[in-house]
Amino acid sequence: MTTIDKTAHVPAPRESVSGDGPLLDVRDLHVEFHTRDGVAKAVNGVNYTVSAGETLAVLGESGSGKSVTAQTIMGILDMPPGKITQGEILFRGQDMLKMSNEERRKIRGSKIAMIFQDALSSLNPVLTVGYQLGEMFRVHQGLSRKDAKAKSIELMDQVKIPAAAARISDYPHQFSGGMRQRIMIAMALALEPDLIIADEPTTALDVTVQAQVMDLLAELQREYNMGLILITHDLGVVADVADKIAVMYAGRIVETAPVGELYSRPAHPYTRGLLDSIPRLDQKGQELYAIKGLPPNLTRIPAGCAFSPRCPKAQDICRTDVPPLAPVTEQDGLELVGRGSACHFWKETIHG
Amino acid sequence: MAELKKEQEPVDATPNVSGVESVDAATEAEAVAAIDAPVSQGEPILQVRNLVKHFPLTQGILFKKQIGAVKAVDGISFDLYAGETLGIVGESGCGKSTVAKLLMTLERATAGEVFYKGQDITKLTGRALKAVRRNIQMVFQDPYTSLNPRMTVGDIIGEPFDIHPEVAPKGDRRRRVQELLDVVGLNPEYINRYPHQFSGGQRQRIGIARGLALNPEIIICDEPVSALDVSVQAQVINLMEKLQDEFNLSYVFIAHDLSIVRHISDRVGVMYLGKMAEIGTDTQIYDHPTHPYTQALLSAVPVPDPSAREGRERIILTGDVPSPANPPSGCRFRTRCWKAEDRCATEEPLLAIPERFVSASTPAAHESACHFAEEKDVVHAA
Repeated sequence: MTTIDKTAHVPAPRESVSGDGPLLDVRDLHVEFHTRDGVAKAVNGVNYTVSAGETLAVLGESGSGKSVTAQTIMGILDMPPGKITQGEILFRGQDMLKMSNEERRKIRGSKIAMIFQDALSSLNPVLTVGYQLGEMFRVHQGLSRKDAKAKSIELMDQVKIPAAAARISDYPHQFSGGMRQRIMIAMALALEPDLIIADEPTTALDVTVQAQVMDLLAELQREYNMGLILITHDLGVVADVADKIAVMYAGRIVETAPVGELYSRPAHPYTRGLLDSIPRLDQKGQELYAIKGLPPNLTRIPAGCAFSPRCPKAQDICRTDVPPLAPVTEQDGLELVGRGSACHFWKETIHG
Repeated sequence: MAELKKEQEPVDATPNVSGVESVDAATEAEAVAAIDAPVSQGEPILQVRNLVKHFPLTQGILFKKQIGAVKAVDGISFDLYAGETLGIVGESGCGKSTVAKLLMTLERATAGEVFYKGQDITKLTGRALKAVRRNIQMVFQDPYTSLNPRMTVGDIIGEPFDIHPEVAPKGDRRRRVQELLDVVGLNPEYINRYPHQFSGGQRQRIGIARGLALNPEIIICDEPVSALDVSVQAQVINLMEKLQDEFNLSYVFIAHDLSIVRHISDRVGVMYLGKMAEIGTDTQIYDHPTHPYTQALLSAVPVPDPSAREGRERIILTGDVPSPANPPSGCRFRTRCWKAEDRCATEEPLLAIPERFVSASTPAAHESACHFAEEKDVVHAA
């Protein structure tokens, strides 16, 4: 019943298969919300790319803009109050922001799918899970009810829901939290998309179930060679599954790095602060390091570097000039692939 | 050390074990006096014995009949020592929060005793119960719903004084509230603000200030930081540790985040389906777990260190927690356990030091409810 395996679950390093550029390329994306209290600048120039078979983890606290970016990519941002002021989202080279609603509908679900955090409120409580899963096939592929049902059972088997055929006509409330999340995953996988966006997929789950769900996700991703954007605030989950990480703060990416590098040598004071502020499971520490202060209000983002009021290393330049996401290099100038830091003092942060 | 104390425990010395209904004024006054007496550091301040809470499942509208019970807490025992932090971990539905409510006497126990300074608080009523409640306070999980949005911060923190006016005389309350705000690191001038004007971390500080208002000896914290962001979590944890030293508080710290529990706790209890599976000091539980459930739970925690993940053994449990209305016979964990044998289905393992470790002086010699208890390090990379 229980599997004990050493490292077997760890996804093998994936190779980028498609030779012609990344699957998804987000360029200089800006999103703002017009509210009564003023304009909240939720996303302020985000750039990232995801290739097939690759996992990008977007790490950030609440209000950092990580979910808004995902919703914009998916095309499910509420507009108004949301507004995309600038930027491009290229999916296989085509700018999705310039597409018609009809074209985007075709991509949504069949090419890019999303897994939401709260499975209970994302599923319709008055429809059976079989109906909701089958909807994907009926609407996108025009299958009959009978065929759609057969396909749904197959899907539920694939995400390892026991006795799938018997449970297909159950309602969401009859499933446990972990099982509901599996149904969400099954729904996202239904049309075998090229890219999956998972927004905090395991935050509402217990650790034992979280491990099951993350393993399942990694396994399916490998099987289908999908791109995966994993949005989370949990540094532990990221370390287990991601290939590369983008750390977001106040609507900007402040650091990008391959997963191992980020943890061993952070190049941004915010990342370092985050890593220092989590207690360790394998050793008892002293007092925790705490980043002082609070994340900024998005209607009043501080001038210069948004992190400067909380930063222990802040100098005058930090309060006036916005640091660009600069490439990070070794001390001798050797390039570190995939690394960048939006800090005026990244050299001091990474090299001592 | 914990064992020695347990043997001397003065269960029979309780003044009013029998007949609470007939408690006369004299015994009540006696009880209040006992409750107000100080407890020295390292003595058990709270002793929980075979605590049971069953929620009845009923059928029918007019003629309700009981068809079963959700066995949320099904016979757990532990001690809380003065000045220590006892962490309680477990998956959702294992009964952690019900334990918190029972300790607060927000729920009446179905059976079992909770001795607070020798008084069984599950049977107290009236003045004596009120005195106990003053000394045991709670900090809730969700700082967004546990503060009344229509009350100012001053009213929220000062409300306990309305119920226990003896703690702060009327004219002095405003000053006390401002003092409390200062203690938890908020600006005392915020006294007239409303909860929506604060961030999550600040709200949790308000919740903590309310918990501190009556100078309690024990604070029950039910998932106090799980709704907060990582960078703010550390601030609140540090604050709670500081307050513990300052006011000599005892914490019962309930959480599902095992890393945080290790950080703050002196001792840790692991719960599964209403039972205590394993209990010991933080080193005993985290570095030398002997119960398979603890091992599985610990190995499932993602560690923020990619270099450690290669060497760590991972035990992935299959399936979900069974329903507490119909728990498995014998050992409750057997349906998900890889060590389960026939014996586990028939014979319930008791929470005790496993026989094989009894005479040995290893850290593995702590209470664990498993027939096949065996030490296994799952936290450190091999």
